[in-house]
Amino acid sequence: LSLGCAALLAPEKMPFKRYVEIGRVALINYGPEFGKLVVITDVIDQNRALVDFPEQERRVVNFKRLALTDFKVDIKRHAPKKDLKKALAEADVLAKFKASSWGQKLAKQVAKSEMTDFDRFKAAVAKAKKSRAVRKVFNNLKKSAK
Amino acid sequence: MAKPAKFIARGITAEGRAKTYKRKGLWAIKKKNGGKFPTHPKKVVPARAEGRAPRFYPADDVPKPLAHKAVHKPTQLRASITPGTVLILLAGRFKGKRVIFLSQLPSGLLLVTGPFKLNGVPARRVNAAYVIATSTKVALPKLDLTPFTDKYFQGEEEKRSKKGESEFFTAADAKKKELSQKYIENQKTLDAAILPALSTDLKGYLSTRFTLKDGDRPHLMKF
Repeated sequence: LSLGCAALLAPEKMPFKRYVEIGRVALINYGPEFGKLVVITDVIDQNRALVDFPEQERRVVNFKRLALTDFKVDIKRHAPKKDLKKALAEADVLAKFKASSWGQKLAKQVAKSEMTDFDRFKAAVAKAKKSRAVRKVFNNLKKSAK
Repeated sequence: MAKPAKFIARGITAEGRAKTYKRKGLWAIKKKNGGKFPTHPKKVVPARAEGRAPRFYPADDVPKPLAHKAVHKPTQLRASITPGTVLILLAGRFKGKRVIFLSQLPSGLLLVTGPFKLNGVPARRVNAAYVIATSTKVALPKLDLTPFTDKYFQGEEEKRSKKGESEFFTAADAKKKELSQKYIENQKTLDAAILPALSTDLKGYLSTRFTLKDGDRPHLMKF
């Protein structure tokens, strides 16, 4: 391995920031389990990973259904549930993800889809009220700028 | 009543004849009737007096109409519709209006009210099939719904007089149907009881119509 090759593969040079590795926290973004967070505990082949998470069954998921997050936990390959729980609690992954902009966007999407007809009405009323207030100030400014 | 039979598969009972006899309690019926099954004497149809011909012979064989023994039960209400639920009417004059469900009438139709003051929907009957039940519920006070029966809404039938030629042309005779005082009174008392239970938000909500706008996907919307 020449020095030049190693330099090219340096992490700073790579366009990828999130890697598939054991302990990588991922989000399932397709299918019936959409929105669930999982941890990669093993890589089966080039297409599939073994994933696990507390309160979930350990199972195989295709990489095409996974979206990697910024978070990684320090676990061994095929870590038992107990160790996985401990590692996740230490890193406080769930809370950190929920606080991230990705997590917040996801929460907003979920909240919007769960709005009832009454909630939608209240939101529409609030939106109209706000835009009226903004419009008023804007028109005043426009008038005074003339 | 006797306990129902248990089946192993279709047509195969779990019990044989002796056990079934015991379970059905046929021995108890026998015991009550002194060792035998109760029999009823056969109904004797008196024979017509000799020498009398029947009064009427039908010209054609008239087929006997089938007996209508079906008992109509009121429509089974969805679990989502309970007294106080806000419903969205989907058809008729008041389509799109949000109304409050009061009770189900014996005919199966739903008794709803606007309230009239908020959206112009009076105490009215509505078919449950043409309604979306929202998850919004109003805590209704105790209401007196006794004046609102199916008959109350059916209206009085006008006595039909024999139509003569003149009656077709007198437009002056056509009276505008006046709403009887009792309807207005009943509506007022009903609304007066319900309105205090509604918050300002709810009042605004019931005053507006439901519409589909660009980007709305009703199959994905939660009501």
